[in-house]
Amino acid sequence: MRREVPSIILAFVGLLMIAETFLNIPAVASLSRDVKNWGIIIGGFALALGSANLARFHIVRIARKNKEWYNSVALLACMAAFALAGVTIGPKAASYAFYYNNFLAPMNTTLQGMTVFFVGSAAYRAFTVRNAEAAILLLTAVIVILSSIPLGEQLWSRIPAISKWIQDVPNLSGQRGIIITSAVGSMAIGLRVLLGLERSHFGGE
Amino acid sequence: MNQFMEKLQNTDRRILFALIFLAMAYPMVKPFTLPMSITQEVKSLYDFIEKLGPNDVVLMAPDYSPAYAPTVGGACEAIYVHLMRRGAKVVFASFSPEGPMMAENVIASGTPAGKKYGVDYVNMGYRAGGEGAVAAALQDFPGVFPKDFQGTAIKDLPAVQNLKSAKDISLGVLFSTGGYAGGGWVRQLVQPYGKPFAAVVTGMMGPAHVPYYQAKQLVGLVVDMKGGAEYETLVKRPSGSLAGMGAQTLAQMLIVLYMVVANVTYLTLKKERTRTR
Repeated sequence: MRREVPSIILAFVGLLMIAETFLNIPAVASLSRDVKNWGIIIGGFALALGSANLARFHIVRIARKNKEWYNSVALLACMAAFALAGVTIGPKAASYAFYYNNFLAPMNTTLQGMTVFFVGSAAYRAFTVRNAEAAILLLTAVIVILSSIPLGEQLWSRIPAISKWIQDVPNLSGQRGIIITSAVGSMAIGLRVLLGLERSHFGGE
Repeated sequence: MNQFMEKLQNTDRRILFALIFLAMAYPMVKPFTLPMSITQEVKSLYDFIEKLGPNDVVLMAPDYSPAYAPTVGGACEAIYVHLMRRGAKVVFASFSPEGPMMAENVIASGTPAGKKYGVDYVNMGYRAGGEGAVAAALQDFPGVFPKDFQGTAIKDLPAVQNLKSAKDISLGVLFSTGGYAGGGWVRQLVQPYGKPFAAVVTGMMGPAHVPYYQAKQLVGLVVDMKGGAEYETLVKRPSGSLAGMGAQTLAQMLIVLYMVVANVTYLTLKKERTRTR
């Protein structure tokens, strides 16, 4: 029963979405709309569940005094402070915007900005031409990088055109292949879910 | 010569980091801009928005975090300013938790004088659920967003009073840095409702969106900070993206230089090793 009931619910929801796409029946459209709205509510619960799981993980780390446990304390303190601010003063308050724009945003941006140093270091250490494929990859990378800065076309006026050809021909054919095959794969998985054959999301198997 | 090459190959990474830092810091001290050509993908979005007017409602989904604000935030502001100039109604609706604050920042810095909240533009806040929430909002907008980010009921917001479903929007614009991205919106907006859609994405995501643009499922595609800089050039309003192009130019040129130096040293030493064997 623990697997059959969820399988039946999944099959019902899947068939409902297919029916809504192919049939123009108001009752089906209305039911489908309700089911999509339930999805939003479930999404909200998933956020809460994720937060609870994260908190549990870090509480355990602190309790066990794992390596660098104090980082977990900082994480939990920040989480609690922002949650409290969001619940009490609300995200629309000017003070919340102040905290957001002066604490979270700079830290978030700094973390992202630091990757450029590692990208630079990796380009120096790892991007070497060891074979013909690596040479093609390197040449493509250089052209695409140069096309993403104004200086590229100042150095050689054909850079944008070559980059566009790379995007529109080899990239396009590769991407289309990925999109089409993943769509076919999604259909196959969907069919397995509808038929109750796909049960990996219940755990095990 | 070989000793020099070996030294060059084993350059301390702190030196590499310091050079990158200097390359990015220099344009902050001495800002500069270089002329650039406008790509067709950006121009086509600009041309499409040029045809919009006061009767058009545009749904903008700022699904990015502060980390990516320098990458796609400039384009978000430039497109918002352009829509305001055209007199179109702009509805921000986010499907990423950070989105509403990103919309607030764009509204704060880009709203022209004389435009009123609730009448000309509105921030509807965030809904969880990813692509499922997008599908639900496009089918029943007031049901999914009954109140705005400020808590005002939809009936008191003229900008969204007539927005019942995707059928009532003239354009959807997604600002995305990951997740289901443009493909999800093509599935939920373009295919079922036949509505125009444009995507603003990071450089890494750009190539994955080219097939949708080529298939005319996107009316425009703005990629990375350079796409934003191109849009800012078109609307003649220099802002974050154009300002950031100086740092991006020097940093990326340095990375290209690193690749060249690394390969010259690698190939020279490899040739030398082969010769001595």
